[in-house]
Amino acid sequence: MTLLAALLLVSTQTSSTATVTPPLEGLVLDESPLTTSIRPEPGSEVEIGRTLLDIPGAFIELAFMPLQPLVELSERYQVHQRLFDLITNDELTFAASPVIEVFSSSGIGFGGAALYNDPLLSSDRVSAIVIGRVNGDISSTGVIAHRLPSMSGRTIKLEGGYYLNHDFRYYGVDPDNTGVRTLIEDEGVDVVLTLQVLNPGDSDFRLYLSGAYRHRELVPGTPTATSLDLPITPGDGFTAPGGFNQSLDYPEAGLRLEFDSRDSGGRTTTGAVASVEGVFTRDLQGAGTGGLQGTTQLSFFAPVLPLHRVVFMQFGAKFAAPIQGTLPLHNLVRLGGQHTLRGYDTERFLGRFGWWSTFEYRYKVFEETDTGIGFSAALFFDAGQVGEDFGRMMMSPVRWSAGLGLRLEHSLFLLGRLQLGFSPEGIQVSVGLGELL
Amino acid sequence: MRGLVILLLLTSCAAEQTWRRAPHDRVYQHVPPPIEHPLPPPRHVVYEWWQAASRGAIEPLAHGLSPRTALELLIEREEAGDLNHFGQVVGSTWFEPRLGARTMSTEAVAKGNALRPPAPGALLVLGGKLSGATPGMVVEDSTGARFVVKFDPPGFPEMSSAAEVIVSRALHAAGWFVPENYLYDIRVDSLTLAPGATTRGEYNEEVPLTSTMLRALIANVNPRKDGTVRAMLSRFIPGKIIGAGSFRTRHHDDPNEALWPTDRRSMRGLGLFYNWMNNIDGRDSSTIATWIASPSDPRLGHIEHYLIDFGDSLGGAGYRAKFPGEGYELRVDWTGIASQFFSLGFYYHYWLPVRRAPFRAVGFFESEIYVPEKWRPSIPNPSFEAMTVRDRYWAGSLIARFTPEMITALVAEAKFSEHGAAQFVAETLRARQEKILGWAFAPVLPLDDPRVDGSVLSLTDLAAYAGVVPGGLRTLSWRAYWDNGLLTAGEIEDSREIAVDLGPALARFNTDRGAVVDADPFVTVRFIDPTRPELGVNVHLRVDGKRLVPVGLDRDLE
Repeated sequence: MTLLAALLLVSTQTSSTATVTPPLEGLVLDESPLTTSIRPEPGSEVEIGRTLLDIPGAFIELAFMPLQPLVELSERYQVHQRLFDLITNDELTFAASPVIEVFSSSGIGFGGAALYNDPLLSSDRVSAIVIGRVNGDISSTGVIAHRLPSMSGRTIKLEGGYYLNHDFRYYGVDPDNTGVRTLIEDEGVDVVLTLQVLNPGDSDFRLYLSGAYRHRELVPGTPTATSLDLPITPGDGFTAPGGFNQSLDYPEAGLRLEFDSRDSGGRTTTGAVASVEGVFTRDLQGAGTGGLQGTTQLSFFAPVLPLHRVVFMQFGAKFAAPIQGTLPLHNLVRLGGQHTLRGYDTERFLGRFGWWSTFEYRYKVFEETDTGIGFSAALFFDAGQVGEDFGRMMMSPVRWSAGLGLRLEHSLFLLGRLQLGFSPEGIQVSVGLGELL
Repeated sequence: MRGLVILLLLTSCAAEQTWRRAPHDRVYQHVPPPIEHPLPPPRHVVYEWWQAASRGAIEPLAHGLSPRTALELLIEREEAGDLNHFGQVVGSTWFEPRLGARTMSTEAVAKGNALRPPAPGALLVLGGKLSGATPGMVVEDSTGARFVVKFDPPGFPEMSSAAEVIVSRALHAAGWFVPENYLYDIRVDSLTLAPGATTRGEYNEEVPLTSTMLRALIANVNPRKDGTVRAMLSRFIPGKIIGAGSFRTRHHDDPNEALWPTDRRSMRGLGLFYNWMNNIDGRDSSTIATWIASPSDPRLGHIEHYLIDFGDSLGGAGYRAKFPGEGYELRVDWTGIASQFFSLGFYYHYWLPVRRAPFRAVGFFESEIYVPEKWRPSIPNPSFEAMTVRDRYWAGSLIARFTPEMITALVAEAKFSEHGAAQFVAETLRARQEKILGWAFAPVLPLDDPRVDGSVLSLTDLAAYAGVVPGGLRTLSWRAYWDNGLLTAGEIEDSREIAVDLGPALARFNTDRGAVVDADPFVTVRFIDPTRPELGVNVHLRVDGKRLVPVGLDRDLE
């Protein structure tokens, strides 16, 4: 009916433009027969020209086509919601998730994570993550944190972890650092109990007391398909780290003072984070390894332009002094990797003294309006030095790296970041998830 | 290849203008009735996620690598195919000419097709979708007529229902097919739950609809103290719904869909309407294809295409107010992202100063920052992107016909309760209309609607009609040609309606030469604005018997 009305209207339209008017004097009648149909003729089922002009783009669309039924089924049957509900118990706020680690020098890793309570926004939480890599490496951590109502909401936290790294790339401690590396197998167990001392409601300051037990075994490493370096051997020019070829147990005591005045935990625009930490450790096996380490770090955020154009600056310094004998490897200053000197290999520089700094410019690139999740880009420049003592550190060359990164952020928390760092030794790609800064 | 085809077409057109060439019938422009065919099977449902991913990311990537994209930068896109010789869209299963084809009163525009409101009294709830962000129901009134019920988002009373009414009535007046939309105050105690009523559960599965669910819904959609809740009732679209239409591809189950949607001026030009009304929902799923059975043979019928879901218009976005930026850039705007990334953050979106309207029911709807050429729907719409300058002019020529009185009447149909909200929306629509017409009319001389009374040829200056002539009215020149020679010429003061009398020249010529039309039955009258002489409008007239009949109009582009 509507279409019939439409046709009538077309006739009306054309009639209105072709108004019937009185005959004009002197004009000769032209009655030539006229017929028409202005409906376009149907095209062929497949229009070759149109298709050819769309190549190679059409192949790209074709390549994605297999995803269509999966996406549509997921939406139609709310598969994502079912999966989420399957691994999440809303009343207990428990969630589990598979984990795939792609950016690891030891090869791809698979594992799982389990969370009880909101891991990002709550101090009351239980979380665990286990990852196994193709070369046999294992990494696992667990955290139980609880706010104590009887202590004005102060937090007590118990962390435990076990790791086995067959191919830790060891470049030697400062004087040995020639850029040549060897392999060490590093196995460790950590148990850390931390108690928050200052009332969390009083100010931006936090004070933590911690006690820890650490077990370490360092032996020659194992070359793998992803790591062709040789294992460390006596006489190869490297000084073995403290505790090498020994099974050692370390009790540890620490004190840490933090200050955090950031406006947001995710897309931070202003504020500062500062920390001072002192740790004392000594092995129980009589190997003569142990020491005192002190660390300080200041991070500062400053908006340079409106709408999340921010400069991030960080400076940190650390020293480690042996109480007797030598320092254990885990007490040393370690630069290179995800957080410092990002253009270098992980823990590329080891020393007793060291400092590091970062200048990073971050700017928002995109925000998904419904969820508040978005991307920021970052340009960074890192620098740092390590040395056997303060004088050697200052005399050693300043290492530097620069690069760019992409950060996946929510306004409340940082979801992860992908970084590409350049240094005189090459290019490093690193990925971090759920980090703080 | 395509460019070659276009060149060949242009060459052939140059040899013989289409308006001169048969076919012409007694009324010169004739559209045959649609081809009748059996009911096709239901179409595949393309879900929202896939469409958003496909349109938002995959297709832009594919288009970027296709020769077609490069060609279209070099060669002007082919003009649409659903046109008559006046450049007007002809009736089809997508569009029927209304406002530009006949006189419509302000009331007719405002009421649109909403002439059969639901019968007062109890409403029987047949089912619905009560969970999710956009809850709704299906109800039946006392006469058995069925309606889809939509509610305003929590916290934003009147926002989406007002948008639905205003935009659907405007689109109907312009010529598109839309559902009959009514504002309706539902008395909560007038709702009766039908036996066996169902709704959708958390996993989109069908579950029984209970009175508890119904009460929970009503409590969340801005109920009033008097026990009523404002709702938008949309009468069921006639026929058998077979699925959604498409803004990109043809459906081969429809023999009347000879043209690709991207080759239809009605679909290309729709983008300008959505631009004006700030309707960012240009998804395929905001169209419906329905099979209308033939009255003479119910086994046969044809498919008509309806536009639906206008809650994303004006300052609303369906279940919420628009966010800043919506309507100004795509939801995933690769150009904007690249600009931000490569400028190191020094690039700022031009729309950042946009502020929320001072009315809760309006949201983000404004005209000051708005730039028509920069407007974008939430995901790319291939038909909108195919819009040429002529398509834009055509859509603009329809928008120009909405007088201030009509706009005010349209907005009044939305029944805003906030004092000043209706005036704000009407003024914003008028301001956006002025900007959009400035853009649409800039590359043309907007003379249209040729008609002849005796020997007097009249046209409407749509810019003057809409009051958007830059620099004020001017003097136009005109020249009449016959048989490749000048018949007569003159000048005329521009106004909303201009008229030139060809009678004296024709009479003098006939006296001198005898029979005029033996050699050439066509007369062409060319109008130009002397300040921009490159922009002319040619009206082609045919001597038909003892009458002059307009048979075509073409216009130059800047």
